[in-house]
Amino acid sequence: MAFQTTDDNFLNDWLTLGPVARLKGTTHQNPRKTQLLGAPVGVWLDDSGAAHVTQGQAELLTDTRYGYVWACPSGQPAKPLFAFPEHGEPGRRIVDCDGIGVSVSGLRMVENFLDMGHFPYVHTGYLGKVPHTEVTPYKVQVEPDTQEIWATDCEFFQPKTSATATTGLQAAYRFRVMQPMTAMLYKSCFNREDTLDAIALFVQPLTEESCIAYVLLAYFEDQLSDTELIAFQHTIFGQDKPILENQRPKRMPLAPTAEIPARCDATSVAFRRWLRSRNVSFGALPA
Amino acid sequence: MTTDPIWIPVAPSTSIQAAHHITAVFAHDEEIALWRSAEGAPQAWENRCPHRGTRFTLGRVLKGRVSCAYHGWEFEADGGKCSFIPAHPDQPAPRHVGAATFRAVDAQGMVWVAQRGTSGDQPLPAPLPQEMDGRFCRTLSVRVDAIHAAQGLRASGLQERAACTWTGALSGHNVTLFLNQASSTLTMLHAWVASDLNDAELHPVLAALRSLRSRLEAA
Repeated sequence: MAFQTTDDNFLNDWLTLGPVARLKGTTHQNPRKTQLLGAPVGVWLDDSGAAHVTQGQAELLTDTRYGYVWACPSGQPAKPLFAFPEHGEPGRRIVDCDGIGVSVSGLRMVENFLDMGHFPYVHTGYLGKVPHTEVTPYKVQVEPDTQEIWATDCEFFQPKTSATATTGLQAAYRFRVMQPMTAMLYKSCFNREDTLDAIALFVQPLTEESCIAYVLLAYFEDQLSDTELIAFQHTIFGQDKPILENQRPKRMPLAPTAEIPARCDATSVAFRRWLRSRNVSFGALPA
Repeated sequence: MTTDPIWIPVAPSTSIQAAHHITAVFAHDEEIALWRSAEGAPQAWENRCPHRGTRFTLGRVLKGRVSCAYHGWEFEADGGKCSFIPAHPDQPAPRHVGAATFRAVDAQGMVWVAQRGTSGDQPLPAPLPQEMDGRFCRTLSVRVDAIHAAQGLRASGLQERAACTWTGALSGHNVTLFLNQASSTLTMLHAWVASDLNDAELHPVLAALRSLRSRLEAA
């Protein structure tokens, strides 16, 4: 079975198939079996350590960047993979949290990652706490050069902003959407003033209504173990999962009146408008 | 010739406590969040928050309103109007935001939900020939549509005494079955029995209900 879409936004994009580290022991005959855009795919390493992705008999254009495998379904990528300058920046530590399967469109997963309003309700005691529910105005724009969405000047009160945090913090945030299935956020580092930790979200679209959400940290933190940092992220994503899996419909409706936003949803509104302007259909209910 | 009934019985009235539960029920191919206001009036809403589509049944009842689990938006009983958006605590909620609602009433021991878009002058569910005199037994989910369920009930000797309301004898005891057309592939039967049955007498009735379901699904 081939890819279940004609959406060039996805067919001509770089889509992740998870961390390279997961492929240990795989071969052409014994690949890691997974799914991409509704089609079964195999992912494996050759003797030289290079990653390959096969769909049926076809081998896809494949790359490895940031410790992850990326493939372009059509073999004709519309543009190079996004820049992630914090990956490899001196002093930053890269921690791969691997992925969590979520039974919802990857678009809804990305939107959730961009959303501060849910912190006090879904991540109570960690990323937010009633009565600190206000989302103050922030800026959103599409960068002319890269066409990335950036939300800046974001702030939110967080009782436990990260695994390291021991007290509450008025956290500063910046959000960035690179592709329909990838986003990053930059947030105040608890124990280093004036620096921002980076968290990347790479979403593998399995089908229109299911995905795997991978998380990669680029942190200045130097006190906690990888396990402690990963456990914190898994707690957060484990809180989002049941909420996401109970959204109806599972695909993201793109008609402006299908779901009603408030001013706090400016990033989400910009994301949906950006998807609409590109005629994104995979994982969406078009306007 | 059958037309879809306007009112559908969806749950026993006693299963929904005032300002407490939010329960998912199904009628007219819709998924509905069922709850009660602080005053006890049944509320039937489309089971999705108008903001981001999250099921209301994940939420909770706070101060007599539904608070959505995702962003804490609060919705009022008797109309579903959004009255509070926590991300903007000092501003009134926009007037046009609200849950999609269905009319709901208590009658014959059941909560009944009206079809979407029906107006206020639709008649209430028809009363039974006599008052409900019994106790709720259990709900059977049967994997057939309502027409085939009705045919099967008739073939099993039950009679339709009022809309969606079937009576007859099972294992020698009088029963009332409220037929809940959930979707085109699923029918719920809410079964009531005479209230003076003890547990030992109830067992054969429960067994008869299970075999009734098997007959309906096999037909």
